[in-house]
Amino acid sequence: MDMIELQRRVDAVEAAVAANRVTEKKLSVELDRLAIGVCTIGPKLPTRSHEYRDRGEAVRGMLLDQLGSLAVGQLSQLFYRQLEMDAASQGLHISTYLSPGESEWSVRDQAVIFDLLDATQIGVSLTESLLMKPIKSLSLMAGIGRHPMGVPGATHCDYCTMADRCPFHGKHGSL
Amino acid sequence: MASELTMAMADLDELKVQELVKAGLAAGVSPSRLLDECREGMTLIGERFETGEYYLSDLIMAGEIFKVAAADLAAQGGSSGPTKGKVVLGTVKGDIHDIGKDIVVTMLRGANYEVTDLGVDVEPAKFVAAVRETGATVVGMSGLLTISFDPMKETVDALKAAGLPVKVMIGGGPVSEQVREYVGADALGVDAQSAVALAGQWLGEGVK
Repeated sequence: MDMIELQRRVDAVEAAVAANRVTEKKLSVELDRLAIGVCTIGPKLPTRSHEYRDRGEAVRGMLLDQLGSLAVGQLSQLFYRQLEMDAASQGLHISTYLSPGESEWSVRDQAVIFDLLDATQIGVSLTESLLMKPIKSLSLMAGIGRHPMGVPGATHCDYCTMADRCPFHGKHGSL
Repeated sequence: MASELTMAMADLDELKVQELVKAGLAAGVSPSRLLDECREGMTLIGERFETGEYYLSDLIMAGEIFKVAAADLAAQGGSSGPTKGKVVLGTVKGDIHDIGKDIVVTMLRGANYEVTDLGVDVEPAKFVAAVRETGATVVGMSGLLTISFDPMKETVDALKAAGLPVKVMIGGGPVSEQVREYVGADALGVDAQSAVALAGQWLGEGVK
């Protein structure tokens, strides 16, 4: 599985917060650590999807693209579940996860994640316009602390501003 | 009453459309008339999408069927006469998502608009140049990520600065009325069908 998980010390997080690059409100402040991650399914599927569409097989290309979105969503869920188990094993709690560019969290903070994490290890880079490449990649951040954080049972979908339009809304990475 | 070809198109019956086009040509029906019947089918498809009977994948399938039929008929000299107007469309600078944009392109072409598809990651200057070159009076900008808002605004500003009398629509997953206001676009197209409706509304009004 292509994924990276790095937990930086609180001082790194505090520096980011101080620089107003990470929104405390979004991260449910009573956290001791931040877990950040980048997931990708790699470049093969998006490339194949384009190939189909380029040769006029638009339906096949679109379905493959949607499957890619689903797959990277599921990957991020697996990553989050692993974090959740790791936190629980240490008697810690984890917040829901959020991603820059979603839930009214500025996409500019994508740069914070990529500053803290060397995602090139799994072949993911950030373009000048803050787009992740390969395109079917997701970054996420969650708080870890000694006390429960946020609304019990809430997921990132509950904070999403595209809830009325997203085909995956409420499905948390599954169909 | 809709023809058999129109209904086959509307029902996304690919093989039947091909057979009816072939049979029509063999029977001496004009390619232009057959093309018009296919376009009428595309209109019905748009209506079915609006009512929720059809989904996005149906629009894409419709595009595939129409493209093949239209290419065959065009090769036989089929034409629907002058287009309803010219539209320039692209995914804005910094974003490379193209599926939504491609669906809008297909639906607009199916509705007989002349569309210049600029592709993805399109700089504002390229939109301006394309409008100048084609004389298009409608511009559509697509973006799937929030990073696309500023480039959309830059493009609207560039079009205004160039003094080009165009109407601008924007669309894409995160785009909302608030975003439209920020960007300075004339309208928000929530889906491909509304993009077609907006083009019809503006070009029907004769955007000068």
